[in-house]
Amino acid sequence: MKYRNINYTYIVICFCVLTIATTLFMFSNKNYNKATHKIIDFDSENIESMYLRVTDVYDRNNQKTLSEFFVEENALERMKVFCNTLNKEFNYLEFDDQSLLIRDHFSYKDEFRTDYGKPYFGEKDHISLLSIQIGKNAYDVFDLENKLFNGKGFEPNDFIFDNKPVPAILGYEYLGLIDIGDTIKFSYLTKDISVKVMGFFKKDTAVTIDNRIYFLDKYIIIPSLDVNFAPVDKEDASFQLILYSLKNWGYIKVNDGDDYYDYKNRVSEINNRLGLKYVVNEAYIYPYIKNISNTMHSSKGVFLIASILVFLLLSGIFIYIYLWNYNRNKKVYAIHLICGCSFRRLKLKIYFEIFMQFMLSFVLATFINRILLGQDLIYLSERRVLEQAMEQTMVLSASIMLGICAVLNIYFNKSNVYASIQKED
Amino acid sequence: MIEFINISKSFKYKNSQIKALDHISLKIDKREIVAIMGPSGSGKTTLLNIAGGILKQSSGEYLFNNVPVEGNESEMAKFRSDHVGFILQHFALIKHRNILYNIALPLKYKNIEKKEIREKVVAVADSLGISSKLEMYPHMLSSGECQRVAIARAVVSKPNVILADEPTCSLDDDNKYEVLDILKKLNKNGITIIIATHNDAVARMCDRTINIRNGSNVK
Repeated sequence: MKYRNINYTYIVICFCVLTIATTLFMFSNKNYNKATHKIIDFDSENIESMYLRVTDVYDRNNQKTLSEFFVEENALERMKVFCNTLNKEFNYLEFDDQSLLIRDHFSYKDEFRTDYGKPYFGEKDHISLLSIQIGKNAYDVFDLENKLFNGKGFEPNDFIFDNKPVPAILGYEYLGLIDIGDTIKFSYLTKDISVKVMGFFKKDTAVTIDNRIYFLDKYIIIPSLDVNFAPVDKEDASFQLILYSLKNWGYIKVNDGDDYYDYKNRVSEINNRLGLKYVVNEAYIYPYIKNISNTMHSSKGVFLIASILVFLLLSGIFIYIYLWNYNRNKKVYAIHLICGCSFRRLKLKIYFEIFMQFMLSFVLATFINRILLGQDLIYLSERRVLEQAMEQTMVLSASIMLGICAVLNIYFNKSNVYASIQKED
Repeated sequence: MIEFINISKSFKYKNSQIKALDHISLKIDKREIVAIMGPSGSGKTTLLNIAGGILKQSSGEYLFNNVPVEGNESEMAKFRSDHVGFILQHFALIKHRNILYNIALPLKYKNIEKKEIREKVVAVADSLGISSKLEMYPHMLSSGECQRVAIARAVVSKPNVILADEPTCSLDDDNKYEVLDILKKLNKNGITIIIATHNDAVARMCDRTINIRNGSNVK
């Protein structure tokens, strides 16, 4: 009744291949569907304009730390001047993906979270949601006004913080969970803020910045705020310092025909004048996201078709393997039956073996998948995607297993097992 | 002990019905050794399968110790386990299992402890002269030894009846008579034996012969 060891190993390996293949396909497919952002390689020939990325070098190369800088005299003012100068003298894009911590009760999907939530951090207070803070110039460059599904976009005044609710445009997947005009409380940096829903973006709205494509469907987009008043207390000072340190990590567009080094020098000059530690590096921004998005959609279709074909192929192979195995062992089954084993018990034993093979191979495949896929996942939201892919794989593998059992059951009932030991002449 | 009353058995093949047994009636008493004779395709194996509770008759009644043999598959399996031992033409041993496992197989379905199973297997193997072969595999034994293993497996659970389907067809003359001697001895010990054969020599050793042709009794 027992399969030969080699046979058993063969089936386990096949199941492993199945689960790994399905996970990879599901992961890829889900990634295209669900991932909040993806790192992509651009062909430099397709880049319309050169951009410079502004970053600070505090905490690096024996420089003072950001905390040390924050306590310096006029640190905030100097950062504000730096930010204003960048906006005045350059085509400057403010874009940051700082998450918003929930301080309110409202409906959201787990996929909107940037962390694993309760099981990992325990408290609801620590749940943070995907969010992007975008400056007025970036909002215009990415033409987000024309990507609204409903509601209204940001007005120039919306970019100025005045302790009133901060306007927000939500990704398409928030539709139905929250309404225009609703206000939600969040913790942003060190401050509790209220966010008022102004509208929703169209499905698949995306922006690409610095080799990363952001699908906005799950994001809460708020303005990159300007604070035009002095801090009222220590907490406010801390908020403004962190806010401007983030606003100053933006992108400068190099106009056609301009000298890239001239921009670098000018930024360096302002930086030195203000006694700051900022540098500029090359960055890539590709504004024609529509074309990339279409390509991604095509890839999604290919992946979907490939996934279905792989499933069908693998299911067929498995059914063939098990039927072949059944026929191979038919004589053994018949011997068990004449020795007093019931048909039902025999079938249960066979199904139990299939189940054990499935479990064993799934555990192995999960382990392999974790090593293959789990290593490079920096973003917790991507890990969640992998987990979901694994869950789907388990469901699909279980379906295939049940399908195999069902086919075997029909075959078993129809075939004359005894004949295998009685009609050998 | 075994009584077939007007039993018929048909098999469905494609769109037609093939009649393997046609209104057959017979009675075999306890401790009898009976040969069922007939040409190939006459229905000998089908008759044994019904007697052993492997197949169900299409019509008629099968009585075992005056009790109708009927029920679902699990009940039929219990009937096989409690009352019947099978010896088949090509020994029907599991090739990748050792002799001990092969002989012990019927006991595994009787919820007997491992230690007791081993004792019973050793005792039977001893009586058939194969106790030294218990750790070997079927391919390491001669055909005569393999048939003894098959006999040991048939008797290890102490059945009331042994159904032997061409038990000597794979054996040379020496082994053939040796196996028949063993069956005779088992019969003397109180086991009813039914042998399906088309070998006259085998039939001559039996108490009586039932001839069947085209699924019916030949008077």
